[in-house]
This record gives sequence, C-alpha cells and structure tokens, in this order.
Amino acid sequence: MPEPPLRTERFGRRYRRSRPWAVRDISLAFPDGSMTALVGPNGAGKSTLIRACLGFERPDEGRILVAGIDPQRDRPAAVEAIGYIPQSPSLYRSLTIGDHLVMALAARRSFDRDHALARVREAGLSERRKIGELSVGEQVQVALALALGTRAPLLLLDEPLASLDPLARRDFLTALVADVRGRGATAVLSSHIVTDVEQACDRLVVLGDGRLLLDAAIATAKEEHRTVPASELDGGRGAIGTFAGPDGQLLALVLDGSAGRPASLEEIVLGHLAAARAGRVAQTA
Amino acid sequence: MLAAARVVLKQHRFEVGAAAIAALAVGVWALLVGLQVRMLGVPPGCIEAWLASGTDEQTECLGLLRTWSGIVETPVIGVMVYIPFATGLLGSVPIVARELESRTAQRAWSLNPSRRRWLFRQLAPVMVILGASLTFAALATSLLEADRVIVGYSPVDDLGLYGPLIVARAFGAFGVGLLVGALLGRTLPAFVLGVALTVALTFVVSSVREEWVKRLEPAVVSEMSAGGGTILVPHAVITAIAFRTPDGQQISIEDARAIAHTAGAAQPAPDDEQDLPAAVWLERHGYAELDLGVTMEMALGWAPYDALAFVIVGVASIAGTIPMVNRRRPT
Repeated sequence: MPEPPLRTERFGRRYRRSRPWAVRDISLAFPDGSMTALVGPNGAGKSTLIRACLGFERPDEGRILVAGIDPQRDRPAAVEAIGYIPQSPSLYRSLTIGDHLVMALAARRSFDRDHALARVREAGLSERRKIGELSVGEQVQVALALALGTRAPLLLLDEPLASLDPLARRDFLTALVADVRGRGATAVLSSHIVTDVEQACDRLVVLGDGRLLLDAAIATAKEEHRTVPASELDGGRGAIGTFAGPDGQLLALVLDGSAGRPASLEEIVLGHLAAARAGRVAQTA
Repeated sequence: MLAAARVVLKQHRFEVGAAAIAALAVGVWALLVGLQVRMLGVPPGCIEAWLASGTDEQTECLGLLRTWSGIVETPVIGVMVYIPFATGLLGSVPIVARELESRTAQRAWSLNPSRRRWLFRQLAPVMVILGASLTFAALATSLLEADRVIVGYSPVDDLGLYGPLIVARAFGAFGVGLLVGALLGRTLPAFVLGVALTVALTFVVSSVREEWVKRLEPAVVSEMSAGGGTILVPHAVITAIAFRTPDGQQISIEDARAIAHTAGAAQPAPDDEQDLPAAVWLERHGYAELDLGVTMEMALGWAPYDALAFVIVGVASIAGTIPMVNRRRPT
C-alpha cells in the first residue's frame, strides 16, 4: 500500500509537563489527492498538528510522517515536500512581493516563480508592491502564491481564510482547488468557517479539546449524520451531541436512522464538538 | 544568487549600512591623518634625534615636530577599539533575532528545507560587505600606524589595533552577536548582551595580554634623573618602573620608596598614589627612575594570539548558532 502524503500515528504534543496535552492520540491518514478540512475551535490543536509536519513542533508522543518521512529525523526532506501558509502571513514588511519570489527561488530550486507571479497578478497585485503597504487579505494572497509556487505535493494551510472577506475567500479557494486538483496534490486546510471549506474540501477532520473527534469523507459524513429536534429523542438517547439551532431550538446530531433531516456540515461539526465538550467522543469512519 | 544576496542586504540594510559606513569612515579618517603626516614631511633624522635626546631641544625642527605630534595623536587608532565590535554586533544580531521577533522565521524556515543553508545564505552577503569595509579600515590604519612613532610608551589598550587584528576582532564580535541573537530571539536585548559579552571577552584577552607582555624579558627603555631624560629604546612598551641607586644598583619601585621613607621622607597622603614625598627624596638623592619594558616588536608578538582568540570565538559562536537555529521553535 503506497505511503500517504501525510500520516500521523498517535501524535501527541504537550507544551509543558504541568499543562494538559495540546493534542493527543491523533492517528490520521490523508489520502493522496485529497483536500481535507481541519476544523475545530481555538486551541483544538489544528496549528500544532500542522506545525509538527514542518518540524516546528516536536511530538511528545507518536510521530508524523510526510510522504513516509519523519520531520524529526529528516526535516529538510519533509519540508521540501510541503507548501505552507502560516496562521499569520509572516511576510517581510520592508520587502516587495518580487523580493519574496526571489527569496523563495533561492530557498528552493524547484520553486516555480512564473506560476507564483501569475497567481500574484491574478490577485490584482503587482510584484513591485511592498508587503507593508498591503492589507492582511492581500498578504494572504501573496502567501498563497508562495505556497503554490513551491509546487509541493502537500499543501498545509493554517487558517488562511480568517482574515479574508467573502469575495476574497472565494477567489482564494478557487485558486487553491484549481491548483490542487490540477496537479493531483494533497491539501490540508484548517479553518473555522465550515461553509466555505465544504465547497473546496472532500474530507473532514474535526479536532476538539486536543482530541480527534471525526475523520471522514465529507460525503460519507453527510450521509451518515442526521439532525433531529432534541425533544424528539428519548432523553437525548442516541444523540452524538446537542446544540442550539439558528432559531434557538435544541437540536441533536444522530447517526443513521431515518428520523429528522440530513445534517449540514456545520451541524456535524457542532454536534461532535458538543459531544467532546460533554465528555463524549463519537467517531465514525 | 546575487539577487538573493541583494534581498538579504535589503532586509538588514540599516544595520549593515551603519556598520559599513562606520568602518569606512574610520578608514577614510585614518587615510586623511596619514596623508597629513606625509604632507608635513618631517625629516626622519629630526624624529630620530628627538627620540634619542628625549627632550624638546631640537630647535631646528621643533615647530614641525609639534605639528606632527598634534596630527598623529588624533584618536583614530583609539576609535578602532570600538569599531570592530560595533560593526560585528550590528551586522550579526538581527540576522536570526529579527526573524524570530517579527515572526518571519516560520516563513523562512518553511520555504528553506535546510535551516543551515538558510543561515549561511543570510550570513554570506552581510559578511562580505562588512569584511570589505573592515579590511579597508584595517589597511588604512596600518598605513597610519607606520607613521605613528610611539615615544617611550604605548597605551596597552590600542596595542596592535590595526591591520588583520581589526578584522579578527570584528569576526569574533560577529559570531557572538549571531549566537545571542539566536538564543534570545529579540534584537535589542541580544545587542545589549552582545555588547556585555564582547566587553568581557576584551577584558579577558587584555588581562592575558598584560600578563604575557610582563613575562617577556624587560630592558631599561628610558631613564629619568635630575639631569634630564634619556630614551634608550624607542617604540617600547613599558611594563614596570624601577630605580637605579647612586651606586648603580637597579632596585624595584617598592624598595626605592621604602628606602626613602626609612631615610626620613614623609608618608604620602592617602590619595597620593605617586608617593610624591618619596619621589622627591629619591630625585634629590641621586636615584634615577627607570622605565622597564619591551620593544614594540616584542609586544606585538601578542597580536596573532589576540586575533586567534577572537577568530576561535567567532567560529565557535557561528558553529554554536547552527544547532540553535535548527532547534528553535518559530512562533
């Protein structure tokens, strides 16, 4: 069986011994060519997981394999396989966009400057513009151009959508999907905004309280989960988790069954997060 | 490659610019002073005769000598005590510290598969610019030093501070700055710590140097008696003071003072480190004050060790920075 582009084996990270685990017991395999939405509230461990792939965080338990390479053993080879957008764009304010492309080309011989430059221009930016003059949204577009320019087989995008307006989000995701699908790359996109990632991604991983709550194909998850008013369940029996709907009605997320209606992706995420908060963990394949 | 170097220099333009300008300015200053000295055209015989007499009696060229003396005593060599350290620290501290401070390290280290290569790509252009500026300053001060005739003493602080030693000291400071920058991850605190460490290092090296010079076989380099002074060894570094008794014996300064006080010289005031009553008594009773020391050539035998010490510190610090950069968690 070929090694997936990214695999975690019982990955765990704790920043201090006196503190609870930031993430623990995360075992995941990201299939080749997949686009995975990594969803969870703040502090769920999304960034920790992504940063560990680059060797920025050292696992305290388990390991991570990027195309079969452990970043703790051979970080250069693992980093070479990754295109990354950090949570903050982390660009050099005094340099121009063009300078960043030069820097990226010096860092990686495989960097496709023309491709990155085309993306910059598609975003309506000129390579002569200084980063310090750009809005945060524009900086994210530059960060995307740099990540796509690496032509890396694995793209790790750490909450890039948070600072974008709806139109920019759509542009960002369109460019990302076109690139990833076009060359059969694998992408992991962490986000709070479930509705946006639903259009772009085909897999869903939900993290909560540092644990893996759900790892499933989005289509499968939507087939398996249903939402019913909590009042229709016998004392909440059979519910994964309960949460308040848009109209204030208490809803319950259930597996299978014919009751209620198919759950939306947002409801699936909310139900599993509610379950984690209540101390229950329900996982589906 | 050149384009990438240009981007690195653009990132650090203020620090590298300030350091390079400082080194170039001192170099130009040294060249101007040297040019002034040469234009003055003091005949070598004039200086030699003056040194041999130890007095200002060479009326023939006294005016010229006074002008020459005024020029060569400019503090350009003294400034060289600070330039290598300022240049080295300014150039190196921000290289890693600013990346961590401004949170661009995660960008740099995610684009660059090898952090070690990234570090060397950052270091190379900065070192080339600073190295070239400092080499110019080193050459210019070497030319000036050739014209600077030190009469009977040389302040130990600026001993040999010209030529390759300047570049070696700057390299040592550069390494220290790079290391503390990577260690602290903040530019200003790293700069302050870098200054403290280089001052401490200079103090240690200077202390060892003083001991080393003192262990060299000293000779009487000048003699001062009631009849006047005589310089026996020009261009010497004084390491001790002694006295010659009227019957020709050489005794230490402590023994001479003891003799003076036993014979009735008043005790010195608490703040009188020169022990003036003893000095007056010794002069009146025919004791000659002797400066013991070594030739400048002998003293400058230390310079290679000084340079080596700073080069070792520089290499060790840069080597120590590599694992530190490799282990740092970019935030």
